[in-house]
Amino acid sequence: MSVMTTPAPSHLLTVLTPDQTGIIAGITALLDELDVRLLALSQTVVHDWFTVLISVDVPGPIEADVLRDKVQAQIGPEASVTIMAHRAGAAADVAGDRYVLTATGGAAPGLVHTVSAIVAARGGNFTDFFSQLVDGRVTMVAEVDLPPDVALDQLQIDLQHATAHAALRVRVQHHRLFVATNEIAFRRIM
Amino acid sequence: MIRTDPIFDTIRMFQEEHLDVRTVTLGLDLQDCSSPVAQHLRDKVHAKIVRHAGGLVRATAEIERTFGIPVVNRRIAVSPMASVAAGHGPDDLVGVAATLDQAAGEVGVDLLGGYSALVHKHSTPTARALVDSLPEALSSTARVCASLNVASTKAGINMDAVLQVGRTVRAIADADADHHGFACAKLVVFANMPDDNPFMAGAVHGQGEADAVINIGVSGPGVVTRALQRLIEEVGPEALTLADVAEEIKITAFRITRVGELIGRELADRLGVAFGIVDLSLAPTPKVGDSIGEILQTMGVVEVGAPGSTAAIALLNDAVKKGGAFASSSIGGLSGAFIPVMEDATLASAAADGSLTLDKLEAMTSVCSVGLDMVAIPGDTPGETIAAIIADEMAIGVSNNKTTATRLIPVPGMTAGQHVSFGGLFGESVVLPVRGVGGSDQFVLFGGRIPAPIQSLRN
Repeated sequence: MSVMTTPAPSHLLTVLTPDQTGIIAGITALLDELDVRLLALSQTVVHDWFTVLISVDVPGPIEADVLRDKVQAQIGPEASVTIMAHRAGAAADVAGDRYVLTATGGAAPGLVHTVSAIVAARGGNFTDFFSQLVDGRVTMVAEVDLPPDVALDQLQIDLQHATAHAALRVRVQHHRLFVATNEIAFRRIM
Repeated sequence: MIRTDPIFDTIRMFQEEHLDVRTVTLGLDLQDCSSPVAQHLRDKVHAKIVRHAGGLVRATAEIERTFGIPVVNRRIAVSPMASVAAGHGPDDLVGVAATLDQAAGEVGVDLLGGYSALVHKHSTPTARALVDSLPEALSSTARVCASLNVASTKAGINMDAVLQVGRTVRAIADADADHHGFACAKLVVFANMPDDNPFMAGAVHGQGEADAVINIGVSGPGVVTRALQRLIEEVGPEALTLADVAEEIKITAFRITRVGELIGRELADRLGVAFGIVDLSLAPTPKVGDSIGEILQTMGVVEVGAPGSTAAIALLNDAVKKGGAFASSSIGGLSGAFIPVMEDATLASAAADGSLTLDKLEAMTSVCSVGLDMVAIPGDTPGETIAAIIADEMAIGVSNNKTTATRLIPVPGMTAGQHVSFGGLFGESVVLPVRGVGGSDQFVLFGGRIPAPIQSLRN
């Protein structure tokens, strides 16, 4: 029996464009037509704008710039389309546990930078980040990998202190808490 | 990918709705500490507690930090002392109580349960001696809690023990008159006592348990209240049925239970001991928003104690158990809904205005966890009448194959209607009137054993 392996991506494609139906369908139809293999996709909509990051394996005969131009033409002139060569080993490897950082409170300039800078200074790496400002209140939810030796309570104190001017309530909690309370299958051995 | 709503739902439970891990309780088997020499017994008991529990407080603090979950109490439950100290008399037993108290203080826990005896069929001399020692043991120690199993569905009700205990409860109160009989709050009398209950004062480390085990008690009446309030606000009461109410409670109980299991397993791993059970008991505190009575009011029983109260608490108790059972295969202890009058501001208020009576409480105990809990009664209530109240509660447990219990506090010098306060988590309430004082003395004085009910013959 042959073992299936996942090839490494050759390129990363990003698209930013006003949201409308059919964008994913259009991009992926084009990729199929060009024999470009889709390896992973992450998409979201922020304030009515669509953004997607796609890692692809581009077959030899196709130039990356040509692919970019075709995608641009497919979506329209208002879109921002980029493509870059994937570089192996670029991922930040934080050998620790995953935590969920939440912050809610009043708005002030620079809060996301303040929070992310403190986390980075502790060796933490964000793997997923959501932030929103609605009616003068900011909400941040992020998954962050922290090194095993991080002083968790000091991190929380520093985050709280640095954002006190916005009355932000910041918490950093192990992600297993949220898995346990929200997912039906919470097995003893994860 | 992050889903923000479930994350904030979880955080809200702690930040706004008073969800907490009410207790982490280390259960310890002390049977290997037995010795005919009292000092040897005390030394071994002390050494084992300190050895096993020395890291409990620190490990719990680490887990609080990691998960951002408050753990309110750290406690210890030990093997029933009447078994560990078999052959010893009251004086030695009081000495053991002092040792338990000292060891608990050294390791930093606030309460230690297990100054207990299993007398559901007959009492051994040591068990009788332990009961006799209770007034001194409970009034002279700060952390020691006691419990007695005087009945079981399999054995019936040991009325000799019930009578002895009824008189002893009165003696305990009198010995602690300076504190309004508070020492009685550290004694629970059971039918069908569980082996793994982590909640005080009735926690004991039963037979068949591991040498050392972590049991978790989670609570969150406020979470349930808010979940029901949101449901009613969003959907409207006219669109809801009681089945919908039960479902919402069940879902909420699921999430609360998962918190407990997570903490329990992590703590057990860190301490290198077995993980036992999660006890999901909606145990109120006097804090506003942390009340079983408020849940009942949200369910539509605005006057707690009115007709419908028993049905409502039955729904609540059952939904909690179902949610807990789906969340974890390690549910145990009592798991349900408590109705401790003094510890629940809404229940205490209902007692004060006369809508919640002792008789109604007894009816409600037939369908919820535990029983007549933290109930203040007149200080001159005779021991025989106290025994009769206990017997009634035991009969409910024995006949229905469930755990029931009493934690009665005769308040020295106080009569029905007067107000007593113990402060902190122990709360306050009026002294409840007891009807028919002396009206059943001959019944309890017969003694002996009320035989086990026919349903116990299951072989």
